[in-house]
Amino acid sequence: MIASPSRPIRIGSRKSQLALVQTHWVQAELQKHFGDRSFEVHTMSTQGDNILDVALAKIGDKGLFTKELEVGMLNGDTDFAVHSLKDLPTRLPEGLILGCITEREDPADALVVHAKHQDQQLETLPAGSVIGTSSLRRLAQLRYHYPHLAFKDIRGNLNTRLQKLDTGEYDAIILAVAGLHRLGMADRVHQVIAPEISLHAVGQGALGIECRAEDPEILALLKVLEHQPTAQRCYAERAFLRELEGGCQVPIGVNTTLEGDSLTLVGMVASVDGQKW
Amino acid sequence: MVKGTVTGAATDAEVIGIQLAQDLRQQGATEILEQIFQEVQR
Repeated sequence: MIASPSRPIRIGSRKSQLALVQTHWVQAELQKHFGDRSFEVHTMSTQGDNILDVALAKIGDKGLFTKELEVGMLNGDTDFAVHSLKDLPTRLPEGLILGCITEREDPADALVVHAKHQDQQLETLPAGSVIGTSSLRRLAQLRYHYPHLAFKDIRGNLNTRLQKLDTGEYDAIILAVAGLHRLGMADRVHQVIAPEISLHAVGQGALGIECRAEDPEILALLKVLEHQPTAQRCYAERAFLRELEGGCQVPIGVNTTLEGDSLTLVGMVASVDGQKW
Repeated sequence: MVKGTVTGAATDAEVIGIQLAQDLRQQGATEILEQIFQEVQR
């Protein structure tokens, strides 16, 4: 399906503020490179956006935040879709491929605290402090290192979660550093959690752009956004997750470092109680 | 919790990922994941 130069290239995106910031960044970068083309953003809601009263792990479906965007591409309604790479399953529907991986932001997790805990760190928060996270991966690792803390599920987009924190429903919450940076909220990062404490999700901090496999024109456009070092790290992480047949909702964490041509991948699989196996 | 590390050539990224997954399976990752799937389905 070739996009004629006379028609806009249609980009699929979720509707959340973070998704739109990421998609508009991609749109602006492509516009810089291809000034003679126009790019339109088409937003859609996904299953993960609509089911807010059930823990993510309980929904358990791979493609929770991507399926509707994929249907849009397969139907020809959009030409490519911008995802947080951590949400993109490692096995894609037939006819779709990962067209490119953009440069990664800091992939670490961050502690964000209620105002009353401004002087505290994870290790000094009072016993029983309620920490909000929807991620089994974060839960398992933090429960292992900080058994004195209480953990409670939290859902909703980033702004909703921050609001729940600020109104006192939680003492602190765990969010991705990258999301806070992209939304201009870097000042809310209270503590960057070291990989020795919590390994991040596969692909965290990078954007993955998915497109139709048989669309060489779109693939060629997307290649200008590919960041090779990030892609190498993320391909290793995604191969690890795929081989374990895990999704983004299972407690699997990674950290990759690239020194010259040498790539090191650290990975873990945690039980939900975070205990040693 | 099972954990491991693999280092290799960056051009072999996929191989590195697969090798680490296989290492962790030998340490018990499969059993942990099966247990988790049973728990979340309850």
